[in-house]
Amino acid sequence: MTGDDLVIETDALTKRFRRRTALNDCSLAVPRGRVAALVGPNGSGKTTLLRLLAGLSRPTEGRISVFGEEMSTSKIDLRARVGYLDQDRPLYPWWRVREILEFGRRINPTWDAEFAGRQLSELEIDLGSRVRDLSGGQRAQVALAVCFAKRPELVLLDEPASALDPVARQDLLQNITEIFADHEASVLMATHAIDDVAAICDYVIILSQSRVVLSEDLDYVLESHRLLSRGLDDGVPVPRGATVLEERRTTREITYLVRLAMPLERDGWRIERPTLNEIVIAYLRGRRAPSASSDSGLEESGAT
Amino acid sequence: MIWIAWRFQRSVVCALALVALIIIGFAVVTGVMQHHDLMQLLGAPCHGAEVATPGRGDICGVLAVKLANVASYNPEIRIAGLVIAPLVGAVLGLLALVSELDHRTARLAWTQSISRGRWFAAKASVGAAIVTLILVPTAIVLSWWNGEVRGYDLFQPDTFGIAGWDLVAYGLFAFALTMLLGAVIRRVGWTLAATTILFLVVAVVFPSRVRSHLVSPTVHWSSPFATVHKGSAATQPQPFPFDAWLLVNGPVPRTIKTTPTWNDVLATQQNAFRCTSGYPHKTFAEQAKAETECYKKLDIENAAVFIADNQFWTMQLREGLLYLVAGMVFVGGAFVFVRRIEP
Repeated sequence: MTGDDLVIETDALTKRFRRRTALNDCSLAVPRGRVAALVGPNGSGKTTLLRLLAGLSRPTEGRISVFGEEMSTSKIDLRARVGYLDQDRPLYPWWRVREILEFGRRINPTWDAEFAGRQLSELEIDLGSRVRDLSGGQRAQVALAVCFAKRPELVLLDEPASALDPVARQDLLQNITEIFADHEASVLMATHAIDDVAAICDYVIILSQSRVVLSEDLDYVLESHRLLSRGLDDGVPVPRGATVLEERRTTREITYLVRLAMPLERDGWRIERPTLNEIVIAYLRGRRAPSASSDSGLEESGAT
Repeated sequence: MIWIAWRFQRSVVCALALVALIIIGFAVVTGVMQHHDLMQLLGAPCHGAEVATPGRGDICGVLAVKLANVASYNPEIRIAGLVIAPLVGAVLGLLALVSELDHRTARLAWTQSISRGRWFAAKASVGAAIVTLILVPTAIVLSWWNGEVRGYDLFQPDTFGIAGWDLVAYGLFAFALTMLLGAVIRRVGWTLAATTILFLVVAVVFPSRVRSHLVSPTVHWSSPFATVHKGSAATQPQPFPFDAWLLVNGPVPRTIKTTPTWNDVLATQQNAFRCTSGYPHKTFAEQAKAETECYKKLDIENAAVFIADNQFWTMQLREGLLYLVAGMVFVGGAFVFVRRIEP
């Protein structure tokens, strides 16, 4: 993949806050036109990575580039191409929604006022309401409209549906999906909710303990992982090219979640497709992605 | 961006403008009443005396009471005058920058198509313009009020800060100080506390330690034993103009090379005391003679160090400029911090 095909590229990116390391030696590349999910537990560095990409903070070490250009707090032209939805949705609480949109119009040359107005009227959000009087879901929708109305080429969403009730969450995700379909923007969305990833995204990045442990196409991730099960006493070895990520034992059966480097031969194993949730949790527990061809999986003991 | 900066603080600006208007209105009403009563009391038939006027009732006494009643508001206006500038400056400074950092709404602006430099410049310039717009009319009215109630004698150390244009400079200084502290602390409450403490320190230290050095004072030498005869009474002459700001007044050796200070006066008085104790001074005449001889021997004269009334605007200008320069440095410092902040 060339630099032109990449919308985000980081190289050995490290961010420290005094003694705490929020991101450590983080290298990843996100292709253009993808809806990428950034998955990881609390404190794994998702928000830090998004803020670095949004030009809100500077890396301690390493390089971060967006559209092939080094991102920094002073690059206005580059920031104009990036939309950012903060997880706190920092809108001025005592302003009216109309004024928030006016705020966006005045400082964004590419502002799409028609889109913003239409989005909010379709959601029946009164433009005359004060932000503080809106529900959490409505506030998130206003923040989302502001984020997209500047017509960004890259959209960074930090936990867009967090702290919303199920209905508001569903509405917001539905709206995001529709906007994605209309815009030709690349998206990087940090989330805890694996279900959201499966519903919206086509690329997945897993961060764990400040490091990138997986950064791949979602379909490829689903295709390259399998659950292998056999009886405890069967003694069948793990197939060649399969790297064990996780092992589960019951009284009668042993199950491995493996990453495959080549087509799998059955060899007495019961083979199932894991869910994305299972794959993500296996990576988060194991921390490190094994190389595809390696047998140095996290958990190979007892596999033969 | 100017619209955004204005929209952000317009309700608070209206509240502060209202406070300023109340002070202005109160000063105008009491100033006019006080001036009117004072002029009546000074004119015929009272001529400044609270005496009963035959056939007219106690007009002068009544006038004096009325004047005293109006004048009783003077401390309140003086305090309001001293408080309004830092209040306006600090509140608008908090709102322009610190509130955005504390509530993290700066993230919204800083991820749009605008540089932090432009954002900060708009915030600082709109804030400073509003501080000026509120405080200029306040300063004009308080200067007028001060002149009216002081018989056009502006030059009083206790009201120097509420007369002239320094009121505006104090407000801008407080605005800039709040912005700098806010950029460092990034919490509204703590910033307000730190600004209040630092402003109070400056407000105490500057008038007592710096203000008198802003212009060269006049030193008037006179004989400590000079007398002025008025009819049959003999009094010591006033060695300085009545409307001047007196810095030092006392015996000092004429040979002193620097501008006399109160410490010099004290040291001289001790020297003179040691000298006179060597002379017999049982009677008043002997004591006077001993003092005269010692003062001659030690070459002591009376030095009155004062700043003349005509230096008022020079001092105002210099003090105001000092505050403004400090304010500009603070705003520059705040901008350096703002560029480095990772909200």
